[in-house]
Amino acid sequence: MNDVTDPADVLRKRISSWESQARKGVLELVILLHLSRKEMYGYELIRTIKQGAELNLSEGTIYPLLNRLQKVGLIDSRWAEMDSGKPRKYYHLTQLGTDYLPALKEAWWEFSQSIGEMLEER
Amino acid sequence: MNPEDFLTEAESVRIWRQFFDRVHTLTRRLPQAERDDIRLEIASHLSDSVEQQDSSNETDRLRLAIGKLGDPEEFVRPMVADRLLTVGGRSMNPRAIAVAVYYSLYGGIRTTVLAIVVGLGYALSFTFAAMALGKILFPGHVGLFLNDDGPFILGGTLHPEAVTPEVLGWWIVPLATMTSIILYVGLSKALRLLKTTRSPPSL
Repeated sequence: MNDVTDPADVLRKRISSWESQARKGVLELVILLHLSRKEMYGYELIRTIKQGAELNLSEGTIYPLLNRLQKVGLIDSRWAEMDSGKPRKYYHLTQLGTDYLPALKEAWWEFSQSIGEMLEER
Repeated sequence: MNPEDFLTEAESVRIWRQFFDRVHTLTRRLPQAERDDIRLEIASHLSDSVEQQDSSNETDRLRLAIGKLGDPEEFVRPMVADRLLTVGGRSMNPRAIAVAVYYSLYGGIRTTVLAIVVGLGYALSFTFAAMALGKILFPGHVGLFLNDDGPFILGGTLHPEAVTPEVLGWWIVPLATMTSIILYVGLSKALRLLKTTRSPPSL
């Protein structure tokens, strides 16, 4: 087995892995953000998210997250049938979700700023 | 959604049914309406995914779509757990709640139990290695002491004269070393095996 690993390559992979984890952490915020702009169905949502950034995420993992957001009342869903006859489950923000989103955004900025400040130190 | 409505190859239909058998098994504890809801959403997703690929081979497209979706065990199980809790909470059925809690903890407990077992295993391996080393450093105090008055001691003792006879002699060095190595290698192999059977990380 080839033992020669380029250290720059190793670093790049490590950062990519970190970034993937970090994005997963804010997935709830990202989902709510997308749904605040447009009603979407699961497949559309995961595809839009993955277009934004390459996540090491199986598509299926969006469903338990949507399920949970719906359970806590931040989003709601409705089944719609397309002209082709295909059923799709569309998700949208509830009033609670709409009220919650700005607070979540605020929390994100504060968090981001505190990290930024930490990076500025030294 | 009937696979035959939009899949044309017998092989694709077979793969589709096989996949949904897995989903079916995972959702069996839910009421029918919830099962249908989950199944339909996944079916809709797969059908979109299959349609939006370029390959002309339908079976390849379906396989790829299923691959991208991920292991149903990974993403269906948490949904089932959540919905059972909701349903169980509504019905106040203790059995439903117990099953839901079990599913919720399944992932966590399995990991914790494995961690404890593996941790203890490595500790044991280290103990045997220490035993071998101890025999070399304190030959009179380490060994297998068959105590006539009480339980035997495998290891070290501060008062070897109280627990005669010692039966292994220097054999304890190779025996303990071998045991330590076997444990260590065995655990490491088992750990690797367990890690690879887990599906890719989920949320």
